[in-house]
Amino acid sequence: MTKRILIVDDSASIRQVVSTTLQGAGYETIEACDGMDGLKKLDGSKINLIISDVNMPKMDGISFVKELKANPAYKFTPVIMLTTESQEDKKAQGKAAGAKAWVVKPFQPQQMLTAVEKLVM
Amino acid sequence: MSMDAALITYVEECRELLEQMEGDLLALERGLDTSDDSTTETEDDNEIAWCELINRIFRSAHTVKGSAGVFGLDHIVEFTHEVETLLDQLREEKITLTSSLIATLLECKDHCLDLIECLADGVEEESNPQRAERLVNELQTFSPPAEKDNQSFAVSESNNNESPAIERLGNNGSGHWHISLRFHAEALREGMDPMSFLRYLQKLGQIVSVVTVSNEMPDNFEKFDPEACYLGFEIGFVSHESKQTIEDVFEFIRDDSQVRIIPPFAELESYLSLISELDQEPRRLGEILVECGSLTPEELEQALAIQSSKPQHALGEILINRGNTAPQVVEAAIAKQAQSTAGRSQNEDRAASKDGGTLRVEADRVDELINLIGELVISGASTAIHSQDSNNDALTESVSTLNELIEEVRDASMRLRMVEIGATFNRFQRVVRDVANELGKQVTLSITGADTELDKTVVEKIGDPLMHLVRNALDHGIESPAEREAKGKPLNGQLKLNAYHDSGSIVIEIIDDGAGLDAERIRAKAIEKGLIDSTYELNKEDIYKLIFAPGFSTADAVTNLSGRGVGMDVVRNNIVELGGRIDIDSEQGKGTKLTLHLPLTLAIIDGFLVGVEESPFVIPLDSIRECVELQQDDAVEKNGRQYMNLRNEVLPFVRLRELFGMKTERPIRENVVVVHYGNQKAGIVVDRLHGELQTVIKPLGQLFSQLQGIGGSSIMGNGEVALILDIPTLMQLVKDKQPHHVIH
Amino acid sequence: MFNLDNSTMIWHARLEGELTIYHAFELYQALSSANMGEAPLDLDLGQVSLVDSSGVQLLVLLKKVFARHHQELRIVTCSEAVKDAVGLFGLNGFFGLTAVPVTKGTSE
Repeated sequence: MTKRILIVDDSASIRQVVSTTLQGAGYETIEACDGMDGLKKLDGSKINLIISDVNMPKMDGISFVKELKANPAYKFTPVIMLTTESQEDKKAQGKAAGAKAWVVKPFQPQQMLTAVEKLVM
Repeated sequence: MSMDAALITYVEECRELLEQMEGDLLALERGLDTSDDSTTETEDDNEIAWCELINRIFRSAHTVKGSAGVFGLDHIVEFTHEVETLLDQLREEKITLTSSLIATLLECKDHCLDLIECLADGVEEESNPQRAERLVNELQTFSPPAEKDNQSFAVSESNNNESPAIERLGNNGSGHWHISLRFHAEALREGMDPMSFLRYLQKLGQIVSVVTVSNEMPDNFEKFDPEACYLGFEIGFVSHESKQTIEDVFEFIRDDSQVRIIPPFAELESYLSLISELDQEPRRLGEILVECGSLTPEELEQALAIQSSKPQHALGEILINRGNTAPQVVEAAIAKQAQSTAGRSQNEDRAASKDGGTLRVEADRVDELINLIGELVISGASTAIHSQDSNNDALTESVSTLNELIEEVRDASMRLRMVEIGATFNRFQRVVRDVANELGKQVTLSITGADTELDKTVVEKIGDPLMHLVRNALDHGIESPAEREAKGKPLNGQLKLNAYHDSGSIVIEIIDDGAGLDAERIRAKAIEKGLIDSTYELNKEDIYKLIFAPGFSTADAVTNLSGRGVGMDVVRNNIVELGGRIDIDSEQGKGTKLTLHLPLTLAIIDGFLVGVEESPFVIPLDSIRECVELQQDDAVEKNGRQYMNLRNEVLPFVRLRELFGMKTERPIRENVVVVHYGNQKAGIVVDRLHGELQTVIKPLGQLFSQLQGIGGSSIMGNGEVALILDIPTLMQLVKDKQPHHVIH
Repeated sequence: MFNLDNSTMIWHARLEGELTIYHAFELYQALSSANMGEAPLDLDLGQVSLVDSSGVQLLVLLKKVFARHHQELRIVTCSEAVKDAVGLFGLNGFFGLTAVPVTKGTSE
């Protein structure tokens, strides 16, 4: 069964790179450009992991994760937050909201794959 | 999808982000100016807007940097990191915003854009190290002295642990790692599935033994929480990976769960401390370690003997991988704090967010779609003809419904190419600011109709001409503060960019309240330059148009702005090439209004179908004034040019059959299509008039690109190819040259 | 899901589909309401398509509950997914799975 991963980031290029990398490793990916869009992608279909940026227009990553954790169909879905080294507080907020994993930007595609594989192998 | 494609996306994305950044910086600057003399009432509003602007600028820099890292573009990461650091300090109000800081940030933005453009050209390194260094130094002068980037180092490894100990106490046990895990109760609810971590371990090496520990789990249903995690593991693991790598496997859980890792050939005391930390029953855990193969039974006995002979607290001093208790406590505190503040910001975000996602599609694909829909429109038209011929009413009706739908699809697909002109307009904020500074003038740019949409291709092509017109207005139009004062005008000059739709075309206005055009001076200059004869009687409008003549410049002092060798004639040509025109309206002393009329799209035109021999031609409908029958008596030929009398007006005309070298005899009756371009009129003589049609323009192949007078082609409903006439060039041919020599 | 065979006095239970965290509560409720423990249980896990830690944990609980009642819990068939998960956790011996036939095709 292929694992599906939702990538929520306002940067199209990050989404593209992450998508390409994960697809190369056999994952199926869907993309959303911000929290709002991310919520729209939570249509009940199976999602094994969510990767979400923190700083996004419309709805930021923290709010997105909170909404996600309130959705019975996805409340147990692991979330990887994309933070930066200067965003320790964001990381803490993300963890409080329920995103227990993180990848620090800027990252190499391989780093992302590693983080993903730890959570959904 | 490949990485290359992603890189292209990155370049595009950065261009947009940097453009937005520029707009935001300029908005900040304007805010800075007005806040000086504004009253305190509006300050709160300003502050909110400011925060959002700074946030957005930060986000732009942040995304540029973040993505650069993904592509391994270290030079961009390095540079944008500096910018981002400063913006972060700005965000946290550690430093105050000044106009010099904005100026530096604007320059940084320019530098970033240069790096991106170099990247687009395939240069993946710092193109201008001197500037980068200078800017970084400048940025650092703005930073508060205490704050020199220690943030970024704080995160990296706080627990630099010991290197694997080779020394063993007593007999050697195993050469494998021992990993002891006790997952915290929330692990499963948080999506941290132990199974996944174990699977991942298998990727790094071989799990030689696992003992699942479920001491914490109740043995009855009542006390059991099915979503809580009660699992722990003792794992014997063989791997050549570094300690760091193995530790990193548990990166996401080590804050909450208990993770202990004992390297191969570790001292026996390491196991001892593990035993003492974990279990009330040392013997049971010791047996597990033996079961894992991490300890031999002898070692266990030995260890237990050591343990009983030592006081408990001594063991605590040699704890393995104890690491960062302090940061953990801090983080927990922050997390609590975050919970309360995040709730608030969530609501704000919701209020601010507006619906509507975007989808990034390559322009080529949209073009392909539009092309195909063009074909669909054509075959729809031919189907309509056949259905009418068939006299089948039901068929005719459904074909007509079908065609209506096709038209809707076409309109919808054309809208895909539509972009708002706002982004293009906003770019001029910077231009106006810089140019005004350079000229020592005070100018405010106001923008209206930013949401007016037009075809992306048109947008791309009007950038340069607009730039020129704006510069020109600043340079020659708006006067210096001193002059304005003398004239009793407000010191601050007004420049206005406006856009709106007007019956199938877009109108862009560039309005300034400057000196206006001096018709007499233009006329004098034109005579001096030999552009017109001194005896010419010209109306005001025609005189104004002279500024578009090649080599015309009225400015007494040639500044380095407009006098760049590119004249207004080039601007006009650019607009004309787009199928547009420029009108000038000016009042001396009051200002000038330039009005650009441009087609909304370049892909579809309303045309008028005519025929010469068997060949169909399409004339763009908006260039047609009228159609009349050619009265052979009224036509005269003089100096190789042909004229006719159109209601006592001399109308130059050209026969398409002659222009395109068609050899057959002229029919007895010919028709004249009177076309206009600007203020000029000309006649195009054809055999037959067929009527109006809407058609999709297909560009001519490379082979025909030299062909003058033809703008493109279109495929007709019956499959025939019709050539679309390029009226501006045709007019030029009619006017200037003897047609027979032009095309063969 | 559960059926007590009157002639042998053995419970038969068959779990199907996903034994994952999303279904853990629902499964737990079904299992706990069956009031088992007074008779042995034969468990058919042949149609289980996916197991995560919560699933294994639930099986461990079942085993423990039965052990407390001194009753046997036997897994009579299991899918590859079950076998895989139980094996990964080193619980083959605990569940006596080594000799249990594995059904093909339903696993991941």
